[in-house]
Amino acid sequence: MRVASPPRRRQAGRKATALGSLAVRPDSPTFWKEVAATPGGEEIAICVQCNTCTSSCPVEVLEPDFNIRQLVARVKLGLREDVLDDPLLWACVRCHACVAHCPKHVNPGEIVEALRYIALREGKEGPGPRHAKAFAKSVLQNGRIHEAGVTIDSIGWRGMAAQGVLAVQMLRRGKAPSLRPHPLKSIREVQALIAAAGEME
Amino acid sequence: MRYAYFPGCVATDSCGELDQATRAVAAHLGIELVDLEEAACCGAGNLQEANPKAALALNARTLSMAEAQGVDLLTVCGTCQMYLARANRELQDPATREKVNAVLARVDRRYEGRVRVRHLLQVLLEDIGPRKLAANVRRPLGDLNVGAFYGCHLLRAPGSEAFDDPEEPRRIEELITVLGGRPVTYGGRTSCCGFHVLTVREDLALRMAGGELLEAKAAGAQVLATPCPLCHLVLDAYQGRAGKAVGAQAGLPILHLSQLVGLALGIDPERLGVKRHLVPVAPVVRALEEREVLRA
Repeated sequence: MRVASPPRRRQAGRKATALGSLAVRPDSPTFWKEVAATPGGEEIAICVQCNTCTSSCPVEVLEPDFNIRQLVARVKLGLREDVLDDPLLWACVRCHACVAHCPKHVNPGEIVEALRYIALREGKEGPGPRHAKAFAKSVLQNGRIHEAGVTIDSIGWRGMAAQGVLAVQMLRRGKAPSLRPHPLKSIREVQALIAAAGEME
Repeated sequence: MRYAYFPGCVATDSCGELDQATRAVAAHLGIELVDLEEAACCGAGNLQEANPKAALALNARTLSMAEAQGVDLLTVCGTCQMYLARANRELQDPATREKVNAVLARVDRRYEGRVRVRHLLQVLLEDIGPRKLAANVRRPLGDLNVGAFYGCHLLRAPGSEAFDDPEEPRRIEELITVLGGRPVTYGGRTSCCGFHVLTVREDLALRMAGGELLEAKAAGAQVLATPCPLCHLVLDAYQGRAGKAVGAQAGLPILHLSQLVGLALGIDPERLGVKRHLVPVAPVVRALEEREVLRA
């Protein structure tokens, strides 16, 4: 049984993501080199745009505007800001189907990882960056994920309110995540290691 | 049989029943779990995006803890399996390992690359083995139609291809058969539960999970078995919302592999945490208890 996709629509405020659009102009012709120098993006140069990645993508089925082949093409076209500002960059579910299926071993899903890394480094904002930062913060503070904290930091109290009934149901089943974080006893060691890792080449 | 046990974050927080069930099953089958209480999060992809060097260093630290115990690492999570195995693969390269070891040395640790990262499913089928498992079954799954929900990361973790076919997997079905159940196959069994966009694009995650649940239901599944706490969380706790998103409720109980095995072994369902589920597991438990093999 396949669930019907919602009608295709562009996200408000975005000019276009399709190739050949006149609305988006290349702003960084060598963007692909920057991606190739970032962990995960190494193989981008050899992509021949065969579309195997998009054909195996479970997100594309539900959200046709998320097109991983086009994402790679946009990087190669030098549409740097267009790519890094695209909220759909954060719609990838990291399933790695494209990584498994790519006949050229371009690792499209890992290119997404590299692009997100660059977007975060540049201070891009939105729900995706917010979640990634919340996650990293929890690891830095606790060594592990404090689910309640990460969720609140990611979706805010308004988002939590929208979860209302579910939160009550989980609470009733004794399934609510702990409100209090439980940092590792060795959290200082973890923090020292994270700081030291930053100096790694 | 001894393993360094890495339950991961979700299986010790909102899905604590999975840690509980894993411990019960391990004790029952004579598997010794060495707790890595001080191990940090695997990064789950988020840390790899936000701070890839920190993610690699923390996973190297976890692997070094298992190596110090002289045992392999046991995960019960698809995502932990994926990101720990990926770090382990990177650390097989001597140059990378030395670079990371230079950092680990600051906290008096070192990793030589000797640990294997293994998932509970692999340990059950390869180390315990189908014979011993089958011999211990007290509540055969009988005529219960069990659908496997593999999710993404267990199949696509480096090294998994030696254990199962990532495109046409059959090892969970094999386990179901060993436990006396009837495996049901359906297209969505290797698809994604949507967990990794749950806080970013909940609508998308719910439509993914909802579609797969209905597909399993249509194929005749009465319960789904997952190898992953993240799939478990979405498919169970978010099932109602997912049903709303796709316009129909599947009403399918979800069991983690540890719980499915635990039930078949005859372990008290309470010890497997089945009351902590949002979709009631009681009908499954009742059906199994009717067929329970009582031994003196």
